[in-house]
Amino acid sequence: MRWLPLLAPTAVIVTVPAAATVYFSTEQAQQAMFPGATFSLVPLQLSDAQRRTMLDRSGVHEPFHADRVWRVSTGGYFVIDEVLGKHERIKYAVAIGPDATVRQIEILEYNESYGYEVRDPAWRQQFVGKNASSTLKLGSDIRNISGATLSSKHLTDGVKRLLVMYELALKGTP
Amino acid sequence: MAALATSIGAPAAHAGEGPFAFIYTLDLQPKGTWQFQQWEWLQAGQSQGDYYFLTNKSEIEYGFRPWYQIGIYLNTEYTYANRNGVDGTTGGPGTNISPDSDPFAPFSGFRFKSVSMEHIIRLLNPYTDGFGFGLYFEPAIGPYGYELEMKLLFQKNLFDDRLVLAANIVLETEQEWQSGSTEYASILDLLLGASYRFADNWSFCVEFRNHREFSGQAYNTADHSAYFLGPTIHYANERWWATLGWRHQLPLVDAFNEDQQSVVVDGRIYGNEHARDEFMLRVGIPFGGKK
Repeated sequence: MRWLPLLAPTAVIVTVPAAATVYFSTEQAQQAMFPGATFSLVPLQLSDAQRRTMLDRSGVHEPFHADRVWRVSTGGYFVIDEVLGKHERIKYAVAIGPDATVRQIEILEYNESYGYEVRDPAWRQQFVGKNASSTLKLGSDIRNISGATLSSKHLTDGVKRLLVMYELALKGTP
Repeated sequence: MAALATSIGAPAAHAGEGPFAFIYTLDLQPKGTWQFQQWEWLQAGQSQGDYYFLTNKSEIEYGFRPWYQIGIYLNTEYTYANRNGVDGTTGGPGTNISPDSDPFAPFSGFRFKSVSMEHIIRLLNPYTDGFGFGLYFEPAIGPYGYELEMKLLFQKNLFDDRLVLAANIVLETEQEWQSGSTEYASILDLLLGASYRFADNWSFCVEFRNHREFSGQAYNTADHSAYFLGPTIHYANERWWATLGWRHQLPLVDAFNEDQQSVVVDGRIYGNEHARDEFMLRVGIPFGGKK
């Protein structure tokens, strides 16, 4: 009985987590980024040395899953990757053109309280034309989004890692 | 004099959605967004008997600038104590028992404590500057006294921001009006914490506190130095988050005068100062994100 007053001011909140917001499936993203093309999965295997180089040059510690890289029939590559968001992972895709530069990036899944501005076309457009030699630093090469700093930073570093991976493992392959 | 401590003092509020229960981080509300947050801070157990002291804090916080957040709090307290003192009497933080009442009778009471307003200014962003640093300022006033709390906030993130190291240096001065007298105290706290995001949505933390208290408002005379340590678990998704933390008083107290030493048992200080254990539950609901 003596605990009864404790309950009055206590806000008890029970909420079922929302279902993940999926903006693009893999197939939808492929067709949006390379319309009309066909895609073949690349049997990519990265050595420890290559993974170390990717970490050193991008700063991204999250494991890279090499089984989500496709060769595009019209030239270039389509890659899906994930980086950490504030609470969950941000799933995104990068289209790399035959000239080894970023052709487009798309956010496939984003489930955070804030930071949805990373889906703005103008922000994503900043990556177009970047290659493995680009510095890709948030705040100088890529504009930081106030209120989405963590997402902006991790996506920027993630794109850098994919470009390094391309340079190490895909560039020049038939 | 030292009887004042923790009755209106002690770690007050926190900001944004950090992973810790007791330690501030520099994760501020984005500009133009706001968040409701409810705090339930329970101090439990003294040297004997029963002792529970619950502080309830209802907060609205708002991102005024990308680097500046404000928060407004409504603070209430509930206390239940029964023969919890070292000498077998009833007392402890939050009891405010009249000298004329039976010292061996149980005490329970709920009261409005204060309203407070916090200001947090982030000078260095841990996500973009490599190291986070900020300033915190919170005045509080209520029918029983006022307090002024200032903090220096430090934060270092590692491993894609999975690992968060944070430190707070807390300076607090307070004045309490009760029983026909005015009492003064000042506090210097060092809070250290490490948090690791071990799975999506989940973080585990360890938090440490060294609490140093002084008589007078200008750190005049050292009263005691107490130590706390414990774990925290944090869950968050896009719609809400919750944090549950526990801090245990370590048997390492330094009591610097006879008055303080008289309420030390097995290396822990009680009296009107502290409890054996502290539990914190925080629940937050963010608003204003643009999907």
